[in-house]
Amino acid sequence: MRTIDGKFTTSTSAWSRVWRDVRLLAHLGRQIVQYWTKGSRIRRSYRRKDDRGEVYWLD
Amino acid sequence: MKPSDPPPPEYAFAYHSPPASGNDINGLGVTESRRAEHVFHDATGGPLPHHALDAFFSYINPWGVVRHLLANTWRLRKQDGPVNPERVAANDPEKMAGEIKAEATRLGAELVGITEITDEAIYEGHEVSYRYAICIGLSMDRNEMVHVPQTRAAVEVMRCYRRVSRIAVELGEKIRSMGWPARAYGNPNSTDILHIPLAIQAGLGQLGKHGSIINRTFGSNFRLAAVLTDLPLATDRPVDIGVDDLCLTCRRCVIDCPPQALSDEKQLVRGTTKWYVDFDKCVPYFVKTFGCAICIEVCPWSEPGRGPGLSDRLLARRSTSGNDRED
Ligand code: SF4
Ligand code: SF4
Repeated sequence: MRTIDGKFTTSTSAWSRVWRDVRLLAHLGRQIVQYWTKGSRIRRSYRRKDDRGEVYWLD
Repeated sequence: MKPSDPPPPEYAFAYHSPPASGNDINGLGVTESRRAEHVFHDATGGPLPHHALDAFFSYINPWGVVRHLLANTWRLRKQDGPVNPERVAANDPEKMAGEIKAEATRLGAELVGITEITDEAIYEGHEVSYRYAICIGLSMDRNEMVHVPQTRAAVEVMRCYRRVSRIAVELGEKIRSMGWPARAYGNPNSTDILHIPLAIQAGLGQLGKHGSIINRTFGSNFRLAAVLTDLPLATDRPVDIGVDDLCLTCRRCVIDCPPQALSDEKQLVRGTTKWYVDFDKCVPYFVKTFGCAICIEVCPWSEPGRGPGLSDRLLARRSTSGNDRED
């Protein structure tokens, strides 16, 4: 999951601002889906390993 | 205060092939002056050495934290924007600084200071085309923060970032409406700049042994955002509230930091001797606890109402007895 920098923020015309909002909403939507799908798997696996005294490998 | 049931510094996550030490990347022990580099989190998503830990961190954070982060990201889409072609004259930087500070306060800022942007506050590989930084501080709800390192404190941290970002975004919009370029920076989307050096230069506080800024009123119990602009503004000066006088003998944060990431000695970092947090010890604990923050909350300066009297006593003691320090 990533936050953003200038790529969504430099729009100047009204139309480009609408387009910026649409792209950012899509970006945030993807992040939410990832948090609840891939993230759920990671959280479950991490908790299980933590309970068993095993290691969750980051790489 | 005492931290609320801190878990031990033992980790159920690790690297097969650990990346370069964050302390080396930060320039610990380096005598030459150079800019800071991103180690852990960079909003551009660039391949940072500790990227895997950052990604893991963002996935294990509770939804209560993540939802504020996402809402803040949405807010910060307005960090930049069109500048009014009709420019308001700004011939009196002193008066303009007063007006901008009043506007920031009206928007909800509790601390505002202005400084010229220096190289040490810009990350390596990043460029900033503005001359001034308006640094904004907002205190966190201490009733929540006394629960560090529990989740409710982590939620409050992110909630505060969201609130202070709103102030920065609205102040940036106000300046652009006056015909001057301005860009708001709120964490965690502050890829270009380091907030703490800017805020210290802007007179919001001093660096403490725990590596965070200490303000006379709020201690370290506040969060920062900034607006960078070319609007001509009178700048503030760094303050001396007596932080070093206390840090040289106080050991509260050192004792209470579970992974022992804090040191009683200042360290040489990129050519400057200063208080430094051991990245490799702090960050795993920070990740495990979703932001830790024990050191900033146990600091005596962060106790509500204590800072002003503490500062007065420390400065008075210094002026009457030279090198005496408070325990
Ligand atoms: S934030 Fe880092 S330095 Fe501060 S107490 Fe926690 S682990 Fe220690
Ligand atoms: S807890 Fe004590 S040593 Fe640590 S930053 Fe605060 S005053 Fe300084």
